[in-house]
Amino acid sequence: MDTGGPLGPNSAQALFHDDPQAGIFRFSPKVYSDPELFQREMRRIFDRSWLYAGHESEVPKAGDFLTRRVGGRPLLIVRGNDNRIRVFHNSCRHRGAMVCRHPSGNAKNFQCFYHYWSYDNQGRLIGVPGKEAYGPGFKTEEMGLYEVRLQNYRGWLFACFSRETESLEDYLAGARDYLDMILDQDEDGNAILPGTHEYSMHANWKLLMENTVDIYHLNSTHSRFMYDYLPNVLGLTPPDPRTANAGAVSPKDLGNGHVVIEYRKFSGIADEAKRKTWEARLGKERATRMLDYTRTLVLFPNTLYIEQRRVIRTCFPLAPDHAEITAWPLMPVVDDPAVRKQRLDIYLSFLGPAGHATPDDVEVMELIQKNCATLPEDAFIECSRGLLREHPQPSDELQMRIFWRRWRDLIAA
Amino acid sequence: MPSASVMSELRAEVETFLYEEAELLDSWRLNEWVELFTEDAISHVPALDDPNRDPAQSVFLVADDLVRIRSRVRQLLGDTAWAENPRSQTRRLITNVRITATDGDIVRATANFLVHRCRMERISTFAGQYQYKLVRHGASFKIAERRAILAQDTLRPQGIMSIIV
Repeated sequence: MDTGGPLGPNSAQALFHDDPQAGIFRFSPKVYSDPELFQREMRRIFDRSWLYAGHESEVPKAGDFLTRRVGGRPLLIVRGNDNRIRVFHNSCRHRGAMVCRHPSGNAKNFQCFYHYWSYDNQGRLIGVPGKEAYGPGFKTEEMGLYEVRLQNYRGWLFACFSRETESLEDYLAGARDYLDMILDQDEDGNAILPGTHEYSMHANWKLLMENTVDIYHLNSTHSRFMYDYLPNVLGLTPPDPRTANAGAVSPKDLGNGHVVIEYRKFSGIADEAKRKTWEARLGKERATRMLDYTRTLVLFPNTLYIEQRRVIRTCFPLAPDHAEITAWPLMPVVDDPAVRKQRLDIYLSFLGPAGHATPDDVEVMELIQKNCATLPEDAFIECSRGLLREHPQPSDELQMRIFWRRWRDLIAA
Repeated sequence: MPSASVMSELRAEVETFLYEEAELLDSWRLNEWVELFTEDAISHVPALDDPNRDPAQSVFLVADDLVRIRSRVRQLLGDTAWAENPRSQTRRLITNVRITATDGDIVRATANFLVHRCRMERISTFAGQYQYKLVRHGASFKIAERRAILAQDTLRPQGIMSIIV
């Protein structure tokens, strides 16, 4: 239940100090730790947004299923015998137990072991032992698994728990063009590779949204990756922080809280062979952006696509100070084996939970979390970087401010 | 297959080697640890749902060759591996050592492990099975393959894995 509580209707606004004239954007560290704000987030953001739930390549054949927690809810994603992908609450309509307890597989039916009620892979109730004990008001056709709204954008499956939310295409707003730019790069399609990384942190989920688009921290937090792994293993020159912004595009507000940062590739895969065909297919300007620049996309609230690592990553809150992170590499179906190996190396070495960057990110996010519930009442988090620049750069903090303004509007509404 | 007494002697040799390796890791003598590997060595921590996939076609947790093992060690011994600075205290228990195959200079062995880790007031443990391909080297061995198969379905309980398991 969301009563507004003692924070009051406008208090979310009061958490922020947003003064464009002075070039100041600051907020209370409570946004990461307050239990009441956390409850509001669950109700006003996660119950109403389109949330990334999976990829159609994970359920290629009729009967293929996945079970997964999305927005705190155990879901069953299944391709039915009619070849349609559906998402259900993974919960028996009799007493509520989970009907499927395997992470993935292929099944015609799902049976709850409590009393052996069973459902087909389109969610319909097909078996109730001793059915004659029920009266005329018990209608089997009304007792299928609870279905969740699902929409598919070029293979990406999004779930939404609200009937009121706009369509996925409208929700994605300006982010669609960037998703297209990313997905158009794989002429023969793409697919999730096996070996999903599932890890966690004792920190607030929003810290990862900010951290993933924080270019400012690369040379300090990721010093060891930049100055050891990059040159000594990958044979690449680390970018000079003084010139790394040259030619960079300003972070862009894509609407509805979505944001993209776009910058020159420094450790991408050489796709030179594709330049001519892409220029012919998509025009010179777009082909140049696709080949020479790389993007990190935040789909509000909690889906990230890091093009340089080719990874879809989500971060779901479990508590104000605890979040679960899942990362899936999205690779071209047709790929040169040597290039594939390089792509996986770049992904694993930087973003893997046993790699050379993610553990340090988790370390710093947990260090922030340790402080944010205990600082003085008037303490704030500084987020003003580049605010007065005519063209803010990826190493500024405009991308975080776009996220926070959307968050503030939804939490205060 | 060699005789029972030869096998038991070989197992004792492998046990000694694995205990020494564990001591190097637990005491952060990582430069000495690197010297245990052959030039063409691999050190892998495969995916948790299926340890038998190809690292060139699927995602592992660690898929290091010697160049990468050396980089990992340099990073951990440097002062900017923030997740391990200050360093974890670890102690690893190595048990159930079994010789699974021998072929000339090559010995394949498995062992169970339990790695206890404590850092900044938090304790985590990693349990699983090592699968080694060892090569005779003088009176001891070198590691040609080291695979740590974790006995867990996700890394969520520990969060991340910043130590060498």
